[in-house]
Amino acid sequence: MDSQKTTATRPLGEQLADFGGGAHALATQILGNREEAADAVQDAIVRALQQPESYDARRGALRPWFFGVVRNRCLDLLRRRRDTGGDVDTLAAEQRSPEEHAVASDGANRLRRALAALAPHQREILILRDFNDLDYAEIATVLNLPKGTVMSRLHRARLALRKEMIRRDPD
Amino acid sequence: MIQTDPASGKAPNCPHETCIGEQLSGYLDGELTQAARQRVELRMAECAQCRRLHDELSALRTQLGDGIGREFGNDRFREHFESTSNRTLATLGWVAIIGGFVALGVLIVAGFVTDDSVSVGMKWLIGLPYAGFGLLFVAVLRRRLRESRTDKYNDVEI
Repeated sequence: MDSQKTTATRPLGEQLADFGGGAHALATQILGNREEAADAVQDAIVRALQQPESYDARRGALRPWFFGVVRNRCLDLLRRRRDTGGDVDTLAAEQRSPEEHAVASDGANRLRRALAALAPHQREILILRDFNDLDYAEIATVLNLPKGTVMSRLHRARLALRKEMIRRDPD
Repeated sequence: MIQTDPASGKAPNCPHETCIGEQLSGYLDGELTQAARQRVELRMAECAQCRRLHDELSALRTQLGDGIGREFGNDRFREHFESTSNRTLATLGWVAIIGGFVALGVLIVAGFVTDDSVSVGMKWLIGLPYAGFGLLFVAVLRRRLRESRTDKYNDVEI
């Protein structure tokens, strides 16, 4: 946890870049588009560097704070969109790079399609926990939720994902 | 397939009145107190349905982490900062080099101009070509700086 806080020895930008992959995964699940998500993460990094005083180390670690900045940026972009819809397969496809299209296994494709079928608030909490390994307190910070709500929301998201996976491959 | 109650996340076929429900996710993530963890473990020892649900969700967590993990890395974000810091270093290097040569040139010119052992005519003869080189350098530098600001193909990588 201490290694994630701003230190005098490492520039803030480099520390934020360390979180780039996880933030990109989160942003992709919110926006449904990898490149747009990468731009959102880049924007969030730039904003965080322009206003470093907005991070208060006494309130928590750097990573959940940064993920919160990324999430807010994504929500801003979503609000500006006229058409946020898209069928599940398009959403799942937009989450993959062209190379991944070619080599993705059936299981991975099934997972992506199942994930894309979930509601955005379910996708984002799954990514925060199961990919980014944030604990419940950190997830509560990112999502601005009471800590007690995180466990129930996460559990429902997992059950929903499981249900989608089974629906796509009952065997 | 184990059917779960959509409202509580419990297994409705679980014989126990109070099933573990969302506590299962807390158990998987190591977020329960020791007492709660022991209750979950005790319940899973008694309830095959709960055990199976635990195993399914555990496998799904792993699959999600591994499946997503391969797609997202930090490299593209690190590259931005590496190139930025390199550009800053290069800029500082050029400023130091040019500034150093300018200062040296001023010192040399000042020493040459104030040297009484050299005639004025000789000073003009020697100084004129060097002045010409200096003016050419400034002209080329200004053109290059203007092009670097306006060239639309600057960022195109071949």
